Amino acid sequence: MRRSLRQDDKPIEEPSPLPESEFSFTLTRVAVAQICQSMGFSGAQNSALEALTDVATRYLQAIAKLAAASANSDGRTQSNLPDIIVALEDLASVQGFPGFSSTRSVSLYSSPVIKNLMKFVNYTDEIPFARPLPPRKKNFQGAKGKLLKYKGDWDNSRRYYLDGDGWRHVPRWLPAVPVVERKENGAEMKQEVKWGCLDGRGEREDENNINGQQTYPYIHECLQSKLENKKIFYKSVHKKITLDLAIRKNR
Amino acid sequence: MNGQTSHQQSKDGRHDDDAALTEFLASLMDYTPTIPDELVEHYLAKSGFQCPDIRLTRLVAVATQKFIADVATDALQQCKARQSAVVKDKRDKQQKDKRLILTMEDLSRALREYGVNVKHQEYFADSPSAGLDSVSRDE
Repeated sequence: MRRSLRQDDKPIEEPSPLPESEFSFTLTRVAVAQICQSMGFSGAQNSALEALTDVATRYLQAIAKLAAASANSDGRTQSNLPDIIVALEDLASVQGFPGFSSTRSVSLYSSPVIKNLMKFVNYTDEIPFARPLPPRKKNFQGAKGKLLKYKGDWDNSRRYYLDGDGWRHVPRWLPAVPVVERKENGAEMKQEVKWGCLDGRGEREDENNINGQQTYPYIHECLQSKLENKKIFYKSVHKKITLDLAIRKNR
Repeated sequence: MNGQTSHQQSKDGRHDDDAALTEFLASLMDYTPTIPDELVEHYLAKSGFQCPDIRLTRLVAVATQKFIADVATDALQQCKARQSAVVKDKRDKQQKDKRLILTMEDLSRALREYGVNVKHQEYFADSPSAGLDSVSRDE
């Protein structure tokens, strides 16, 4: 792991990779320690800090669970602002807050929970996290769903359908779609959709040679007729098909 | 007639609340919570919370930060209350004021009001007879 973000001159050692739960726990502990320091504590017992961090992670997960449950009870999969407010009210009901008795009669947006949060944000200074975190490795799409930089013809169109981890046309709550094969297959499938002349092309290579050879000349004709318009796109397909033909002939 | 005016007032009140809330969410983008966004998203995703809106993620982060800040404030008050009770002379108290340490005792007292019961061992002994009087040990 590159440590280009370090600023001191000590020799860089490769740390052993932590299991995932410990990694997030360590990061949360740093954040909680910063909050305690901003409140006025100059130090903390190790066990006390870990207990408080555990409470923090459980609180976070409790908000998430309650908000998700509230959304699911409405038949939604994605939570929105009223869901979060309901969750926060449930969690704050342990200690109580002013106006709790008349909460549900008025709009959720006027809940004192949110008002307290607004006051907190207004009156408290920012405490940025101690160290910058390494950037994420996945395709990060950004808050507004911007497309990644334009790179090539079919690259961009394929990336349009990639939405971080999943595909845009596949709902997120479904299990992961099995990984499709390499981009040659993708290009061929696209051609199948466009032309309808690749009926036999989806078959595997270990099937009958006769079927494969019969479809090849037809594809070749399609390619020749429209080649001047989309030379770059179909050239790769053409190459793959001729390569396959060469391989079969050599066998 | 009276019902209409009250309905009008409640509508205006709701409009104000909506405006304040929208402004608050916009201001959240300027305020960086202490807990990083990626960490919060990890915990949220772990518990089944889905939301593409990053402002709501920040809202949850700020809510957690406020909770921890409240707990820390209560623990600080407990710590200071204990220090003011044990005042020997002026010099000692000043020295103690500089080193406010978060201890398990203060934390468990502060968390008890929030419904979290934290108990920990007072001490660990080497053997069952450690710390006993010599009389009972002989027996």
